Amino acid sequence: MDPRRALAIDNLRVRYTTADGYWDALRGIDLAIDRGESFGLVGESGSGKSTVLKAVAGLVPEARGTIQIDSRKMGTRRTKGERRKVQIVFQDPYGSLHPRHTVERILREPIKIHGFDEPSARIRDALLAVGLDASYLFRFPHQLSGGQRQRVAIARALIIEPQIVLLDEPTSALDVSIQAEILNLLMQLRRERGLTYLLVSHDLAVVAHLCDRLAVMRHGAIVEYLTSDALRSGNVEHPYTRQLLAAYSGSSVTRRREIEA
Amino acid sequence: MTGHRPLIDAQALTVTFATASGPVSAVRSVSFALGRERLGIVGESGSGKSTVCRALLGLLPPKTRVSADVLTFDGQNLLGLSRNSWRTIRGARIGLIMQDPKYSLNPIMSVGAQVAEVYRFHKGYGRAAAWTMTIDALAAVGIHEPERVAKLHPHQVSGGIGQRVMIASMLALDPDLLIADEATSALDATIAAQVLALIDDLVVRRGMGLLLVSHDLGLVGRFCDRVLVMRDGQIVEMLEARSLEHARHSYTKALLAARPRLDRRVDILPTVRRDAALPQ
Amino acid sequence: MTTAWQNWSKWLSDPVPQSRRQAYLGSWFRTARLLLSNRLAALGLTLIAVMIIAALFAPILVFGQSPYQQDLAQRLARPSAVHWLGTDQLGRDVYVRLLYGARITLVIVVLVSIVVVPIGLAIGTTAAYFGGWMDAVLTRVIDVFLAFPRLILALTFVAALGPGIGNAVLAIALTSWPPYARIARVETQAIRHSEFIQSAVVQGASPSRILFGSIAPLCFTSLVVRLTLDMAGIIVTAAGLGFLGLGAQPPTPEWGAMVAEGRGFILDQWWVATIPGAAILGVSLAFNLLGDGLRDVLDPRSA
Repeated sequence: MDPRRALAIDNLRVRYTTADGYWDALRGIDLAIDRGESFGLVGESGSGKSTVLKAVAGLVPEARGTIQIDSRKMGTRRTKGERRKVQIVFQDPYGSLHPRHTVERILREPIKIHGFDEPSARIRDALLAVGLDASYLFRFPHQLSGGQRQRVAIARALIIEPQIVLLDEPTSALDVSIQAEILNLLMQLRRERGLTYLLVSHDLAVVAHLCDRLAVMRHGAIVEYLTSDALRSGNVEHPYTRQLLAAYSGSSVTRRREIEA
Repeated sequence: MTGHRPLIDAQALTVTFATASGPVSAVRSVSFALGRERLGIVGESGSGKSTVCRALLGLLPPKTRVSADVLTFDGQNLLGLSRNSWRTIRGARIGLIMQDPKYSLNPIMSVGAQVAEVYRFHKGYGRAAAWTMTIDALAAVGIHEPERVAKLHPHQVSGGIGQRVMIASMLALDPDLLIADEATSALDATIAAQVLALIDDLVVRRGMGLLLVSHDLGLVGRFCDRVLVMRDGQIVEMLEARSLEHARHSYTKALLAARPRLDRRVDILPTVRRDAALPQ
Repeated sequence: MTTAWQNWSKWLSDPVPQSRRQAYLGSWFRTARLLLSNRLAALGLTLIAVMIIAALFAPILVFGQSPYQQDLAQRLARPSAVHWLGTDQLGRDVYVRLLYGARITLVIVVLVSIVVVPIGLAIGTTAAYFGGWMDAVLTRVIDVFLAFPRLILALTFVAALGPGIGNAVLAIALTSWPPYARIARVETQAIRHSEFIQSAVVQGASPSRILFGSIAPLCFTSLVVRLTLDMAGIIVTAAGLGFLGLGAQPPTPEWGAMVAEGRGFILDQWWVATIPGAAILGVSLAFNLLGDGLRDVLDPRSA
């Protein structure tokens, strides 16, 4: 197994069985990401991109296939040490922080779980690293703005020093100006700490900005792998990718016409 | 455009909410006019853009103070309107589509029944006639197999279909003005494009006015004729959509620059500085 | 005095708390202010406070008189300057017995609460969090206990184990906990798949850490609201047991027993039965008002 591979996914399948039958959320996903790389998954709703992320995070018991992190196979039941390697930042800043815990408690919890030393210093450092100061320590999530909550979520993900950070549409719920700040922060943190990112987004520009390589998903399968440069230059092969690009740039439909009054 | 009475004429519109911590002005002295054109209002959260829409429809909470030098719809004064008067304007003359059709549609009625209700109660059609008109309306908004879809409930249809149903039920009343408040924000790009094309087509064919509210500057720039940029309750810039790239106000320029772009590569995205004082 | 209060007030409303304690106390303070702005809830809270004060300071408030002191010469005396609320059939001062009876009511309320809420919380959250067979088994257990009518099970219990306040409390607690488990279960199901719980799982938190630290606190408010609304029923059931002679035994001054004892002469010497009855009514009503106010303040949550 290649030691440079941070994450390797082999034939990942997820089938949900319901009373009336079954539904395949993922139909055999193959993916390989090197250490320090930033990889994007794009697709529309229902494509399964978030399911891939959740399976890597160990949140999908129905997952079949192989997920290897650092050349080590990960099941759905994981040890604390295994959990430490992969952390996740969710889309909804309103739902991913416990409404009754202070910021300090939210950041202390992972430290306590993994028995790190000097918790108070680590918490302060984590907050500073995401651009928040100590005055935020004892506030509740409902007292913070969306961007501030997302920063806390990022601080929480990084405080136990994972190798891989999973980002599930981390800026979709944020205003454009806040999105810019968070994207800059994510890029900076990755550079400083040599993190590996797996980013899921429906926004092609965000993926192209943050990632070097990406995969396009549709109906639970990957239809194309490409680099962000190729995406930018329109050098795509699969017709679905082309369709996504067209819809994104809005060139297919919206033409300004004068209204006949 | 000239010679026609503007559909909306707003001058010095101010909306103040009564909150637990005192009065808060979400809209501060906003002035604009809207004719039979596509006008976009762009702003981030807290800019007041949705509040402007609510003020134009009388959908604000009871203790809210709305004041303006002028606030008219097609010449009719909208200030201090009675509830009954609002009911004749809302729906019949001004239509509204909001972000999530799941919240706008009645979850326990089929979508067809809800559209048919409009025909029966507002236009006086009988049950059978209303159903026929419903099927036609659903087909007109581009829904395939309208007879099958009409029997489905809101949670059984996708977001794109839901928005088309909203448009169908709203068009049944043939309003003069359509307000779309983040109508495509929750939809995938391809579906959003289709819904926008539909709105575009109807607006042009029927000569309706369109007020499109969105946080997406790019979308509004591509789709509308004119754009208003709002921040903290005020309009900071008003310009033709085709001149958007040459915007002059620093905030508009900052918003344009803050988006990651597909056509060029940037290392660090410029961010909007939070200024307490706003230039007049 | 006012400046000390003002300082406390300011410390509690500080938008930038400096410690976890300040943050949590400040949050409670805000909730309390909201609650007290509701007049009826404030009334309920006041009545309960009066009862608690009466119970705690009974010996002082009765000027050292004993609830068991009989004075047969003064049997069934009307309320007067000497005996504020009259005397009962054995010449015991009703006012004194009322205040000592408040102690018993308070004990019953507290004991039932500390048994019922933790059990309900533990069973309900565990059932919903783990799901599967654990949920199926625990739900059946809840259903079994739910099927027993409160008073009848209490009667059976007491008949088997003998009368007394302790057994009465046990019997009431055993029949009261199922609704709390149900509420906790439903609340847990609602938040089980939320992203802050998923985050905890991804961080490697053990199920017990998640249940105690994250899930239980969120169920707590619904349970407290339910408890205050239930309290009226609990008090009346305890009084009912006392009335039937199965709760507190004579000569203990329990309100329900007092009503029973005064039954025989309710028309002529109304005060013997009516005054403890009014106390039962008053406290039950107070808990109801408080519970309504709490529900308005705590649900919907301010998240």
